Amino acid sequence: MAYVKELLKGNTDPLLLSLINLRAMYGYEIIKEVARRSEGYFKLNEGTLYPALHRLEKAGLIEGRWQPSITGQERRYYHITDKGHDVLTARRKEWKGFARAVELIFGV
Amino acid sequence: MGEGLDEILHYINSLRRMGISPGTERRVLREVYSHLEEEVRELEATGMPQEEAVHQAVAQFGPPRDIAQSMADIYARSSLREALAGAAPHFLIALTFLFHLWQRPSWVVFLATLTGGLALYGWGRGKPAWFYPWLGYSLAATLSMLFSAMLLAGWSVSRLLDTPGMGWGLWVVVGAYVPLALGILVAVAGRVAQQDWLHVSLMFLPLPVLAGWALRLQQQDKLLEQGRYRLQDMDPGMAVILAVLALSVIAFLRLRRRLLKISLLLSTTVGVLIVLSLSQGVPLNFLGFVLVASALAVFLLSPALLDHHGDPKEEPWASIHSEEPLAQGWRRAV
Repeated sequence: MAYVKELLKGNTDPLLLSLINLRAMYGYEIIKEVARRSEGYFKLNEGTLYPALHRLEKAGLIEGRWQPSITGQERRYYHITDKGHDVLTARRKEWKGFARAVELIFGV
Repeated sequence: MGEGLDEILHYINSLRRMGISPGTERRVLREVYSHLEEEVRELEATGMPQEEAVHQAVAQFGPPRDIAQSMADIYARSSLREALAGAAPHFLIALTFLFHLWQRPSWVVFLATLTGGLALYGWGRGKPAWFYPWLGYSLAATLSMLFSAMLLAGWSVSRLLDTPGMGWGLWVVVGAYVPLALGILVAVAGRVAQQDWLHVSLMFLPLPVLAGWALRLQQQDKLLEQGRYRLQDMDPGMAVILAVLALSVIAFLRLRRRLLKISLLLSTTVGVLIVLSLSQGVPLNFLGFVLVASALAVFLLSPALLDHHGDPKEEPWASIHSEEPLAQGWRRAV
């Protein structure tokens, strides 16, 4: 499990970009979505999520805006920027190459 | 109100004083609070008692010190690349003085375009810390162009009315310009201070130097009467001062603690004043030095007055101790 945790830690930024690329999301929603989409395999904790979101925002890859959620309450929704989209495309390409190389060596 | 909610309040309070701008801190606290309240509400909906739900939600966030430290690492300190980008306009203007490049219209146009362009780019790209010095020079250029345009208009009107010189026209121009320029300065500073009033100070940093240079020219009538070559006497001193500002900006953007940033701004002001009085031959006795240094310090720290701390009663977690039922209080608060 520690190995998975390390893998998740190293890939938090592209995972977040990937989710936010689907649609604008807020912090709590992202945690739920990560767990749902990974079928409970990944559990992103709050202490990792918020610094990561703010780091991505400061880098200009995402942009946070206060908007009312479906319940009418204000939530800080994160939107992907053009720069974030470019970075995500590059990360996906790198991941494909990396995953393929690992699979070739593992023989899976 | 349930005692469990005190734990939320305690957690929020533990996150305060992250050492980042007050505006950013408020934004982070509000975001953490909205997360906690949604999680607690969902846990309560599963039948969990409020106290336990709050405890679980808070525990999942981890130690507040870790979050505060992470946020400080992100927001309080710029990368070396950003710091160099922030110092670049000071270095460029220093080079302009050192090599007397201000005599070349093509260089001046290039510099004005670059400065204005980067200021607009930074404004549109979320106002990164490196962009404030560029904004400061753009503002200085805009204000001086506005003054020149108004002076030209005043002179044209005087000519039309056949008045010798500008006479009263000059006072009309100055009287109209000062409130207009102040209005522009306050409007821009107000927008910038929404993020962090220290960024306004960073933006204002070159203004006293440029204003002092312009006044010195005016005082000695060098510009109009003695020809441009005498103006070059002042250039090396200005280049040194602007290089000091550039180094100061690098240190400012690399420092993490706000108190150190403020101290740096103040000591830079004193340093600049010393170089200015030595290089420009401005006779300043001790009292005069203290008075001018104090005035500059007040000018640089005045943006703190623009900082809006917000009404604590309007903070979303203010309703925790109200008499309203929990859900109602939360709905009203956020």
